[in-house]
Amino acid sequence: MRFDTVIIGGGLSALVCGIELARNGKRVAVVAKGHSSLHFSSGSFGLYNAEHPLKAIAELAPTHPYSKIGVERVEALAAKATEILNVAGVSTNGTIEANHYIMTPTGALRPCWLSLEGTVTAASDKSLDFKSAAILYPEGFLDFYTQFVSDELQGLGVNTSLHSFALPELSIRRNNPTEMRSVAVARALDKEENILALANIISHKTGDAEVVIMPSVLGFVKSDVQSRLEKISGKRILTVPTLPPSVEGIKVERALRTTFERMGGVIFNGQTVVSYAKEENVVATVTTDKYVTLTAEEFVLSAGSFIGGGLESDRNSIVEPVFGVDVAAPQGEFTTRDIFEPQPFMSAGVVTDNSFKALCGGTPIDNLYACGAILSGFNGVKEGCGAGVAMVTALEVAENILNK
Amino acid sequence: MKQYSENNFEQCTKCTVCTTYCPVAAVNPLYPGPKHSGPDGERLRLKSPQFFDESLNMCLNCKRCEVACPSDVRIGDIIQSARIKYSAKKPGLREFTLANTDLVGSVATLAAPVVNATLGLKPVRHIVEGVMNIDHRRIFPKYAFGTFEGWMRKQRKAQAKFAKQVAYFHGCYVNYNNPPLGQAFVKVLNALGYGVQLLENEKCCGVALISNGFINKATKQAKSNLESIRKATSKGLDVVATSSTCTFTLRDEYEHLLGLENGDVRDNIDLACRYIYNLLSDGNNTLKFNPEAPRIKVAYHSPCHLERLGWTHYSIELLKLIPNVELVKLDSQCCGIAGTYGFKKENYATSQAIGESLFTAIEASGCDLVATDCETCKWQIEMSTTKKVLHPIEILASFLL
Repeated sequence: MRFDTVIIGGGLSALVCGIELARNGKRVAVVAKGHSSLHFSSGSFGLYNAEHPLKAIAELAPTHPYSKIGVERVEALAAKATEILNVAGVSTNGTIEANHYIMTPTGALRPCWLSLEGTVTAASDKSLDFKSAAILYPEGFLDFYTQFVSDELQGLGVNTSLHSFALPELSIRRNNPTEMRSVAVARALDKEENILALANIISHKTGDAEVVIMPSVLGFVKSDVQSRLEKISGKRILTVPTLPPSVEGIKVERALRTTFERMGGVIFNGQTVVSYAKEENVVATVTTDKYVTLTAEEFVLSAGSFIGGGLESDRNSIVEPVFGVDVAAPQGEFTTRDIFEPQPFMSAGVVTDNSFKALCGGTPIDNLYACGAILSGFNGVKEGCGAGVAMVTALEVAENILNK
Repeated sequence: MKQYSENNFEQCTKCTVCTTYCPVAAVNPLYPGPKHSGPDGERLRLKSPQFFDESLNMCLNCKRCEVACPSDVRIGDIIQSARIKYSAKKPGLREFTLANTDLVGSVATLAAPVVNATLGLKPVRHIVEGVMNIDHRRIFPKYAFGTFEGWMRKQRKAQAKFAKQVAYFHGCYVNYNNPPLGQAFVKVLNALGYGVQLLENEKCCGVALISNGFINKATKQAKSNLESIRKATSKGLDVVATSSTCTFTLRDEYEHLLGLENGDVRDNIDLACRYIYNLLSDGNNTLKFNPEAPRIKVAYHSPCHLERLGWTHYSIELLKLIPNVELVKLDSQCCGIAGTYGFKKENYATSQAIGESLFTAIEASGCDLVATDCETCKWQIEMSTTKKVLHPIEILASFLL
């Protein structure tokens, strides 16, 4: 099957790149090996962990993906990423100039560039804009740490109270206690009778706290459950992300996939690119493990890092398994003993030139670009820049392809 | 990653993405979902078979868990293999009747008008429910009066005149219920310059035997089919099927669930829509369409097993080639019937709940008709919506000049 561009990977970076190309008239295919790591994300986006991200980005090493783009273009592309999220119906708060803070599933406040509407956020990590909170959680739900959240809130001077609720449908789920998960709760809360029952619980059983804090499980398909609960109960409701699977992350992926397909993009689900054909220095076709051969002018390698399968490793080496392009791996040990320290393997990835063409034996391949987590030179966890690098490099690659 | 088990359950990272996309877990809170039933449970079952749980029978084997999995775990295969290995539930009369599609079909086609009229009667359906536990609301597919194979025997000479040939795996549904689909396939292949022949001895692919617990019979039939397929491929013929589930069973389930080696012929077993799309894209073949055919709006539904094959876009792109067809792609989701699953009384509510959002989307699409590559999806959608459902090949054939 013939396309203008084939993108290998189906995560944040791949979909943002695909949307930008498709809305500029390109016929684009995405090859997705299962669903993406957005399912394990909070649904919020980081650009860089620093009070003023752009100032910090300007100081980064030349091998960092942001440095290849330059701070001015990073700023412009980050704005475009926000616009694309908006087009996809993902409404966010936040600015490029200064980070704000979001609450993690364990209650800690962490810097953030774009956060989703209705989540617990703060302008600084020292205070919140409410003084009392009722923490409300479904009975038997294990992926939300109420006591941690409560302790952190109290440390920030917020009075807290804990309340649980049960719904008949959720009580049945508890027959399989390990499967009482965020998505199951969120699905139950898509139903009108459960929305009304929960609104009643919020109205009558959460005291007179300023805000009601709940895990992010408010509707799986429906997007207005939180606002409806607020309207019926008359209370301000805020959410905190849960442990995976992340309902908000899933909603972001779904919104991006739908937008991409609406713009004419094609997604090949549940398959992995296993081989390719090259003519001179140009990739001609790729073939998947489902025997689907795709021909294109341009190819984008956006298959993620180790979890996504974009990178593979054994004890001695790290490789990119499809094209065998150059990978920058740590010189010494791949890991350090302290799990909370930045792990050297996390900065490993594909080496590109400044236009993000992947290098093979030191030479760029003319029509093979790389973007997102597969790139080398950054540590998404330590730098809090995984989402930023994913979207900014995706848009830089899209622009390079469109300008060809 | 190195594999140590028979299946690849150790690659599971417990991310729960599979359960998120399981159509059964979404509507039935009693089903623990694919992660729990598959890789989680397998770890325990390897220690002792007593960890097998009959809730695995709630799995409808759609394989959407496998399509969703980011780690390539064959979750659906793990669950089906565990059912085959450990389930204490023995198949009864109902399972026998539903699973033996060719035996039942060959009897029913002899007296099709009587069988169709009888199975259409409400009191009869209530009796069937009482005796067999087949839900009385379920509408049976109509049987044809005369089989497709019978029709093909009369075509043998005409088909042999074509220099290029393919072997057609028609499946029970085309043979006993819908010979016109097989005839449409022959018409399209003939228009492309290919003659169509039958396999030497086609048996039911066995998908219903596998899901209803008749593993020995399924294995026997699979071996026979592979023998016929080998005879065809050794003559240089490709084996093409219109049914996505037959194709999937022949290519993947024979090896993964029945443990039969089919690697030597797997590449020669193809789905009709993909085969025809590829013929049309190589530049040497064209089809002539009737320019005066009326314009119609078609909504395409992607069957689960076609999603798992990874080939839905071939059917979609093929339909897009027809000048007077306006195509709408429905969001890919299970229709709920899963072959014989939705016929069983205990599954009826789950089956219809799974399909509900699909039925709503179909009605809202404003389509004239629905297209899909799977016969049981067709039964489910025709029973549950106001729309008629055709195979893409039937639509293609009707637009030919």
